[in-house]
Amino acid sequence: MENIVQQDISIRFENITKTFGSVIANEKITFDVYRGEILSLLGENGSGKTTLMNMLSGIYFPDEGQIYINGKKVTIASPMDAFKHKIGMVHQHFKLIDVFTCLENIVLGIADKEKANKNNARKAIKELCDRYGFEINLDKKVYDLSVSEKQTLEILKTLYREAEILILDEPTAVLTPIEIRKLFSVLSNMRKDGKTIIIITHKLNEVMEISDRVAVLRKGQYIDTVKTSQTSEAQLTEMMVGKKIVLDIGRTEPKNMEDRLFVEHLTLTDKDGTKVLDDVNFIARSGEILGIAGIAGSGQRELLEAIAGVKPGYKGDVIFNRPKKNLPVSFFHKTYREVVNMAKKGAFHYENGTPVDFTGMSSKKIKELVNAEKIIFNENEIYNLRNLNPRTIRELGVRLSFVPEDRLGMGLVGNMDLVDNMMLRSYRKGKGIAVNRKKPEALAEEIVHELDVVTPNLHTPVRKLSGGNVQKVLVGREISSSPKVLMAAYPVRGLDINSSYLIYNLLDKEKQDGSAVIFVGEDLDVLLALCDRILVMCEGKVSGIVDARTTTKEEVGLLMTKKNEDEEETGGESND
Amino acid sequence: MAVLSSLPGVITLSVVFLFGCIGETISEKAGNLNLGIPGIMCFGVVGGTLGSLIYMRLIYPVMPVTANAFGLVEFISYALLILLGIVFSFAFGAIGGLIYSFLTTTLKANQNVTGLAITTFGAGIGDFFMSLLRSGDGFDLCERVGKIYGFHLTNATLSDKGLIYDDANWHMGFISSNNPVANIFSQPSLVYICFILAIVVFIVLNKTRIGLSLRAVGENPATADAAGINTDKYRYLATIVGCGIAGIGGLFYLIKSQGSWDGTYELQSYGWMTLALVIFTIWNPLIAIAGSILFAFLYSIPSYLNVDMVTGMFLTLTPYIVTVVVLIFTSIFGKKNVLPPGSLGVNYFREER
Amino acid sequence: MIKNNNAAKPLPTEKAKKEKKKLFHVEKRFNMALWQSVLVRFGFILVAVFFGLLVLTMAYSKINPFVSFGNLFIGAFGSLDKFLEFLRDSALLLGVGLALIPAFKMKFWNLGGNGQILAGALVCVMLMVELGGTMPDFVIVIISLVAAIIAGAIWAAIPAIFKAFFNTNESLFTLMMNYIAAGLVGIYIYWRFPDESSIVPAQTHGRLPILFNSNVLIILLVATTFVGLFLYLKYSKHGYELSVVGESINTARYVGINSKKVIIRTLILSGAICGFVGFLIASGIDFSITKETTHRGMGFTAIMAVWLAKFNPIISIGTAMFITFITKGMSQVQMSNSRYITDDSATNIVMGLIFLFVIASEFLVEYKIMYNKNGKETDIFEIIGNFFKKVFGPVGRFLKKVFVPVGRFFKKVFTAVGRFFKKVFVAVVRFFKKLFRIKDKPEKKPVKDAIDSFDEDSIEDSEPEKSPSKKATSGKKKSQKEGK
Repeated sequence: MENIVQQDISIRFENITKTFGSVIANEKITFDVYRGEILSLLGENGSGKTTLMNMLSGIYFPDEGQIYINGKKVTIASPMDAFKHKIGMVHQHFKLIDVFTCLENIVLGIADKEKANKNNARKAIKELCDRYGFEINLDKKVYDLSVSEKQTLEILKTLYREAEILILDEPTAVLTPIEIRKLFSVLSNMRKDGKTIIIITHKLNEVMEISDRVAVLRKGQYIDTVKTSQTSEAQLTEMMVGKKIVLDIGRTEPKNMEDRLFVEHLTLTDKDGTKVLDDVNFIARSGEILGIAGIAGSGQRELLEAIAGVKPGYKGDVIFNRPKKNLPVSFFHKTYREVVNMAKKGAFHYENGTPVDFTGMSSKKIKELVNAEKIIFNENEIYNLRNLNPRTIRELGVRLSFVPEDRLGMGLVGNMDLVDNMMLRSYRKGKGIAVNRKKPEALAEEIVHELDVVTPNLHTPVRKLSGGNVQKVLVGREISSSPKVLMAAYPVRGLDINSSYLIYNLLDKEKQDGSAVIFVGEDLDVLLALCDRILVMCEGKVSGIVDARTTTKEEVGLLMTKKNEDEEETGGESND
Repeated sequence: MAVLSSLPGVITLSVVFLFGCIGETISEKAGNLNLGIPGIMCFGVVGGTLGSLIYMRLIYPVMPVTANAFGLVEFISYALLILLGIVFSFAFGAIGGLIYSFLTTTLKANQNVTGLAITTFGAGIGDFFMSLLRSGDGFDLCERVGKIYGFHLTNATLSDKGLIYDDANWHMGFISSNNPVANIFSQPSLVYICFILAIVVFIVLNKTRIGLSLRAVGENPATADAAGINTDKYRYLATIVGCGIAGIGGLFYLIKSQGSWDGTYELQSYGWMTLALVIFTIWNPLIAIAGSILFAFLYSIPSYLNVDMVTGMFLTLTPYIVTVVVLIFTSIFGKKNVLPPGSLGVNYFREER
Repeated sequence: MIKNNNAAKPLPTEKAKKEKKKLFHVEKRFNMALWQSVLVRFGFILVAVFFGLLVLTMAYSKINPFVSFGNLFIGAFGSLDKFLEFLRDSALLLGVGLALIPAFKMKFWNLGGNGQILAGALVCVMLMVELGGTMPDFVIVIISLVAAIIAGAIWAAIPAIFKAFFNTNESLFTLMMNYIAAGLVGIYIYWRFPDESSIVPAQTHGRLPILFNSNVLIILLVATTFVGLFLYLKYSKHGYELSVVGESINTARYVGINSKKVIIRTLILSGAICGFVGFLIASGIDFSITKETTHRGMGFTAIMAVWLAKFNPIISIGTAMFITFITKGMSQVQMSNSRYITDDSATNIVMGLIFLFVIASEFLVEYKIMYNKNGKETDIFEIIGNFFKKVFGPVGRFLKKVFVPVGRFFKKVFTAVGRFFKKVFVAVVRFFKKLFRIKDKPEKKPVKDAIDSFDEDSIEDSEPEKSPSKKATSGKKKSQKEGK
C-alpha cells in the first residue's frame, strides 16, 4: 500500500465548523484526502464523523470553512451538487425505494436521458459489476434484497452516477464476516481504479485491514491523520478516546449488594432478521451502578427496551428477584378480590412465617386480618419477566423504572402537561373510571421543587421545556416510585454540565437507596467515574464486564470495538 | 341477451368512472390522496358546459353539423366540439387540482380535510354555475350539448334551432343497427379517447422516467428528494393533471346523461365510487378499464335485468362491498407491490438544513 | 419563493451562500398566542364570506350584497323558532363532531360519520315502523335508542377492528361504509314501502317526547352528551389512554397500553354517538328516513367543524354554531332570492370558500414566514404587527381596559360552573363506585385455580403507603443530593 504515490489531493477540508444549536458538531476541521486512497474516518459516537461527511454529500451546509475538490473551491448545498462534483455517499440508513427494482432505483432521478435509459443503464451496470466484482440481480425488487445486497445497490447507484469520491457510513455494521470480505475486495478494486474512498467507522481491526490512512476525530475536533502502516490499534484507541479526564462525580461504595436482575441468554431478532441482541447474560445487583458502554447501535437501547417490556418477542429470560421485605398487605390500594388472587399464588404468610390458607375463610375474617396488618408478603419472590408488557410487569409488583433514550417520543408525551405526564405510569391506580390528578399534581410539584425544574407552571406542555428540564421531569417521575431496578439510557445526552451532575447524583442516590441501577452512557470518562461495573457491548453481544474502578479507558475502548474472538476466527475460516 | 344489450349503456357509465379513476390514480401515485374528486368532477362539468357554450355560440353557427352530409367541415366542427369540451373541463378540473396542491403541498395542509373542502366547494360551484348556464338564455344548452356529443346513442331528432340528424354514426365508422354487438362499438368518441388514455397513463407511469420519478415521490419522498427529484413539482404536476382528467369525467357525465341535469348529487356519488375504484384496481389504469366496466355493470345492471327492486338495489351496493373486501384483502395479504403508495396521504416536509 | 428550492447552481461560494438566503423563508412556529391564531382565522373567514357574496353579486347583479349580509343573520336569529332550529342544528352537528373528536385524537380518520348516523337512524325508524302500536311509545323510544346506539357502534367498529389488526386504511374503509349504509336505507325503504312512492311515511309512534318545543329536548340531550364526553376525555382513564395513544404509539408501548384495544374501544364510542345522533334525527325530527337524512353529509361537515376547532370539544361548540349559522343564513339568502338561486349551491360555495381559506390560514398559524432584509430576518407578522401597533395602539389599550374586567368576570363564572360540574361528576363516580363494590361481593369465593396476573399495582402501592416517611425522606434525600 505504501508504494502508491499519494500526492494528488482529492478533497481538502479547511476550517470546517458546524453547530447545531449550542452543540458544536465540528470545530475547525482541516485535513486532506488523497486521490486513489482508502481513508478511514475514525472516532467515537458524537465525534462528528457523520456530520462532516454529510457536509461533503450536501445534506448539511457548513457554518464556516471551505471544501476544495481537486483543488477548486466548491459549494455543496444539496445532494445534487454533490453528484455534480462526483461525490457519492452510502448512508447508514439506505435511501432506496422498496417497491422498485434495483435497476429503477439506480436510474431514479438521473437527469440525463441517455443515462436514464434502462437498457443503456443495464449494460453499463453490468460493466461496472464485472469491473469491481459486484453481484446483483437488477430485476429484483428492493424489498426482496438482503442487507448486503442493498448496500451493493447503494454503491452501484453512486458509481453509476460516475462518483469519483465514495463515502461509506459504517458500511460493515450490518454485514456478516463473509460479506465484509466481499465488500473489502470490491473497495480495493475501486481504489485500483483511482477512486477516493472514505469509510466512516469505529472498528479498529477493519481500519487496520483496509485503509491506507486514518483520520481521527474526537468530540468534534480533528486530532490527526496517520498512515495505517505506521500505527497500531493501541495508538489509534488513544487518539480516539483521549487521555483520562478526572471527573468529580461523587461515587459511593456499593453496599447491601443483592442479585436483583438476572438477564439470561437474551436474544432479540429484529424485523430484517438480524440479531440486535445475541445471547446477552449479566446480573444487575442492588446497591451498584452497572454501566453499559458501547458504540451507538450495539444493542444497548434494545437491551433496555427488552428488559422493560417495551420490545417483547425476545428469547431468553429476564428474572427479577424481589427484595426481602416484610410488609403487611393493605386494602388501601387494592380490592379484596386482588388480595385473594394474590393469596392463591401463595404470596402471603402470617407474621410468624406460616403461609396463609384462605380456603374456607370468610370475607369478614380476611378483611379483619388485613386491616390488623397481620398478613405479610412472602419473601424472595422471583418473577420471570420474559416478554411481559410494562403494565403486566407493574401489576406483578415489580418496580422497574426506565428512562428511555427518546424522552419526548417515548418517556413523555410532549403535548401533555407536567401533571398528565406524571400519571403515565400510575394513571390506572385507584378504582373507578376517573383518573385522579391530585397525587400526580403533588408529585409534579415536588419534582419541580426538588429538582429545580424551570417551568412557567405545572400545566405547561413538556415539549415547551428545555432539554435539561424535560429530562429532570422524566427522571424525577421514574425515581418517584422508588424503583428496585432503574434503567437509564443516555440520560445526560444534550444536557448542560449542571443538569448532568444532578442526574449523576440522582442515580448515585438511587444506588444508595438499594436499587439496581443500569446506566447506558456514551462518555467513557463518565462511565468510569460513575459506575461500579461496566458491561461493554459490541454488535449485540457482551464483549466484557469490567470493574470500573480498576479498568482503563483504553481497555473499555478496545472491548467496544472488538468482536467476540471465536466469531472472528470462524468468519475468517469460512472465508478461506 | 339482456346483458349484451345493456353493454353500450354500461360502457358509457364506466367511462365516467374511468376518467375519475385514472385522474385519481395519477394523483395517488404521487402521494396525494385527493378526496376532492367528487368536487373536481363538478368543476369539470362546469368547464365542459362552458366549452360547449362557446362552441354553440362561436363555431356551430359557422360550421353546423347537419344530418347525412359528412364532409371536412362537419368533421372539423365535431372535432372542435370535442376539443373545446375537453380543454375546458380539463382546465376547470386542473384549477381544482391547483387549489388542492397549493394547500397540501405548499401550505402543508391536511390532505383529508382539504379534499373534503374541495368537494363541498366543487359541489357548490357545480350547482351554482350549472343552473346559471342552463337558465342563461331561452334554450337548454346542456341538453343540446349532451345530445350533440351523444347523438348516435339516442338517434333522436333535434329539430329546434336546426340541428337535425337521423342516423349519424358516421363519425367513428361503425354502423348502428339492431345488432347489440355492433352497438357496443358505436360510442361517443370520448369513450375511445378514455380507453386510450388509460393505456397511455399506464405506460407513462410504469415505463417512463417521469412515471418512475412520480412513483418515487409517492412511495418515499425523502429518498426521491435525495436522488435530486423535485418532489413538490411532481406532486403539483400529478395532482393538476390528475384532476384535469377527472374533470373530463365530469364532462362525460353530462354526455352520459344526455344533457339532462339534476344537481350534483349523482355526480358526487360517482366521484366517491371513483375513489373506491382506485383501490379496487390497485392503482393500475389497465385494471381500471376492466374495473370500471365491472363497477358500471354492477351499478346499472338492475335496470336491464328483470329483477325486483330490492335485489337490484343489493346489486348496486356490491361495488362498495367488493371495494371493502379488496381493501381488507390487500392490507392482510398484500404483497408490497399491491399496497397503496408508501406515503399516500402524507405531506412531505424536508427537514431544515 | 416559499418553497425550498433545491435546484442547485454551482456558484462561487461567497455569492452562493448569500443567495441561499432567500427573500422569504419558512420556519416552524411554536409560540403563537391564542388570540393571534383566532384573529388570523377570523380574518380569513371574513375574506371568504366576502368572496362568496362577491361571487353571488357578480353572478346576479340584482342581489344586493348588504341585504344578503343582513339575511345571513336573519336566517339564524330571525325568530324564536329560527333560533331554536339554529340551536338544534348546531347541537346535532356538534353531536357528530363530538363523536369524531376521540377518533381523530387517535389519528383515526373516521370519514364514516354519515354511515354511522344512517345506521342509527335506520334501526330507529325500523323499530318505529315495526313496533309502532304494539307497545307503549316510551318503550319504543328506549328500545330504538339502545338499538340505534348499538347499530352506530357496530358500523364504526368494523373498520376499527381491521385498522387495529391489519392496519387497513380507515379513511377509505369508513367512506365505503357510508355508501353501504345509504344503500341499506334504500333497500329497506323499497322493501317495506314498495307502493308509497318509496318514502317512509312520517311515523306517529315512538317519537321523542316534546319538551316545550320539539327542538328543546334534542338540544338538552346533545348538551348532556357533550358534558359526558367532555368529562370522559378529560377526566377518565380511558380518555387519558386515548390521548396517550393519539400522541405517541411509542409512549403507549412504553407504559404498556394496548393501543389496539384503545382504537377499537374509542371507535365504538365514536360510532355510538353517531348512532345516537341518528336516533335523534329519526325519532325527534324526521320521524322517517331517506338517504339524505344526514343533512347534506353532516359527517363531513362535522369533520370540518372539529378540525377547525383543533379537536377541542369546547371550541367545537363555537365552530359548529358558526357553520350552522352560515348554512342557515345562506339558506335565508337563497330563499329571499329564490327567483335566481334554486338550490343550496350558494351555501356550498360560501362554505367551501370558508373551509379553503381557513385551511390556508393554518399555514400562518403553524409556520412563520421570515422576511429577509439585508441579512436580518424578521417575522412578517411582526412587521405587520408593528405597523398595526402604531396605528391601533391607543384603541387597543382602551379595549383592553374594557375587556379585561369582562374576561375576568367570565372566568369567574366559568370556573364556578366548572367546579359545580366537577362536584357532580365526583358524586356520580362515587355513586358508581359504591354500586360496583356491592357487586364485587358474590365473587369472593377463594378458589384454587390460579390467575396469573393481579389487577393494579397492588403490592407496589402498599409499600410507600405503609411507610409514610417515604415522601418526606425522599424529599430530604433529594435536597441532600443537591447539596453535593
